[in-house]
Amino acid sequence: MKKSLGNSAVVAALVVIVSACGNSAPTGKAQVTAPPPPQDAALARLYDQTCRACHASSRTGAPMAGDTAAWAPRMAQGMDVLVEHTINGYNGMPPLGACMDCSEDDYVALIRYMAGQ
Amino acid sequence: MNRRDLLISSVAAATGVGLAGCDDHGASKLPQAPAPTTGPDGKRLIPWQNWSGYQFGVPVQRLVPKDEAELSDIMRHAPGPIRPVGAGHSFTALVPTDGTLLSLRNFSGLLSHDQDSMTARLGAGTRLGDVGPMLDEVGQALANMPDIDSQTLAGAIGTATHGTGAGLGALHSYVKALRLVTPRGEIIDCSAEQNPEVFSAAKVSLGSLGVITQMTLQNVPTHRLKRRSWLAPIDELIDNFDQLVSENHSFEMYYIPFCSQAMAVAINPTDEPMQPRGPEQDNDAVMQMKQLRDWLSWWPGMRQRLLDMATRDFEPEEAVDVWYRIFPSSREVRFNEMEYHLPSEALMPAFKQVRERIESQHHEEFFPVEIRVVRGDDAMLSPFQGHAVSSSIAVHRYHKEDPLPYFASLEPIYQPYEGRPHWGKMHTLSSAQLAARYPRWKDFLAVREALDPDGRMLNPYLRQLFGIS
Repeated sequence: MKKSLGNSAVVAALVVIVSACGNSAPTGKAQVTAPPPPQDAALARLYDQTCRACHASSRTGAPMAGDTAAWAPRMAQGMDVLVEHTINGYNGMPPLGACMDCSEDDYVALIRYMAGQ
Repeated sequence: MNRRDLLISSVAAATGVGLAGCDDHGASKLPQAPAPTTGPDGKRLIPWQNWSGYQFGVPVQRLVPKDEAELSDIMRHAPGPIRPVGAGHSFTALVPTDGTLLSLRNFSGLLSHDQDSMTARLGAGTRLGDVGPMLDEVGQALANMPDIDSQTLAGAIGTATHGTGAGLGALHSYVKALRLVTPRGEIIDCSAEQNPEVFSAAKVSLGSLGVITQMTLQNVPTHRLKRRSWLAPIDELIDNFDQLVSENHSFEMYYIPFCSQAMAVAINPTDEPMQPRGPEQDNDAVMQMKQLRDWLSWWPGMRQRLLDMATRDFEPEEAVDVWYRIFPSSREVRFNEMEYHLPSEALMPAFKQVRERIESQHHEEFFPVEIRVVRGDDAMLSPFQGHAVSSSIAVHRYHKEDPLPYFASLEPIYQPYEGRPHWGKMHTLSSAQLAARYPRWKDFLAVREALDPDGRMLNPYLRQLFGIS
């Protein structure tokens, strides 16, 4: 009983209380069927060399490419917000989205592809 | 009020939620990348930033050469400093330039392989995460991998990136040959037999000798690995560390600040049936440790009690899979890092001081401290040069918090042991200090001077590091 009480306290402390400064941890994602590669060969190569490492792996916290349900609320924020998040990094995503030479147009095209648009 | 609510209220009241949690831990002192500006075409001019966001720069141009001929032309004519960039996973200022930033995206993939010699030639811009499936498909495997697989091959070998294992060398120690495009546009193939002095310098060269476009790796036959992780009392793991290292193909230990238990991870070859790793738990665990820090950094006794209770029932985890899905982990919580390499006999004396200093002076710390071992090698700037087996201690600071006070507090611990910093991780050693710890420092600088007399590859950080005005 004592052990159970102790563990409950830990679980309560670690999971339920939301701190004043708030910070959510990345969560795992369900399996999603990968979309066909982008038709544009250059974009397909760019995706393959950068975004795919995280956005095609259910082990990361990134929204999966082709998971339109996961992308819908993100797209609702507007493309400018998503591009800004990509440039400066957001949660687990590194600045520039791991693409060191992408232009703004590249980021827009890659986001649209992953969002299924 | 039910029992859980009572506990929540009690913990919240006891810890003063909203007070401890609002310390920004130096966030306001972090350097901020400049905001993108708008170019003449109306598009954003985007600053380069590293993975943690701590390093940044605004290159006058970013180039993506399609082949070695184009790269050679760029090397001769592009405005300097010319800095090649991989995945941006170094925490030191190796990449920032106001000149030319070079992406090696077009130098990637498996170029050839030889099953008799178990070697493979790969593009230097290939990311480690992509190397695994490529090699496995032809029956080969890297002998070892680091904990993170985002880096490019060139970035990884250039900074002496390593995994862990007393019989396992860092990635550069498996390079049999490489091709370098110099600042004068020359294309130099080198190996132990061909241009051996350049080869010995270029394996760990911080991208300062030119641009590496391809390399030949000495691999091993593809195989299956078993990963086992468990928690044990930290004093027990310290006492048994050498034995655990010698008994396992790959072994590392994570010290969890303010917890009586530490995590051990052992990896060994196996023929057991596949048992893939589940979703990565480490990222959530780190953020939970941060949460506990936010509440209880002022009350380390209670923090330790809660951590001990939270880890008491941890069941050992096992996974069996192909090598490239066992070695690396997914690190989604960004951080800055300082790692020092030490002679093996200095590891535990130094680590005990690190632990004592964290628990007495750094109640703000929550990231686990990583302790690893690496087989020595003979590359000129290898931190493992001259050691039969090197040991390393890596400390981390959450990317939204100032790393400098913490790292400055711990760094002096390593100096009596003549520790050598990881080339991609933060440190403050001077050129003179480094020269004293690397027997072939002058030899490396001589090769650098011969290949790049005008210093076209040198940004301000590298000039300072090498002591070049």
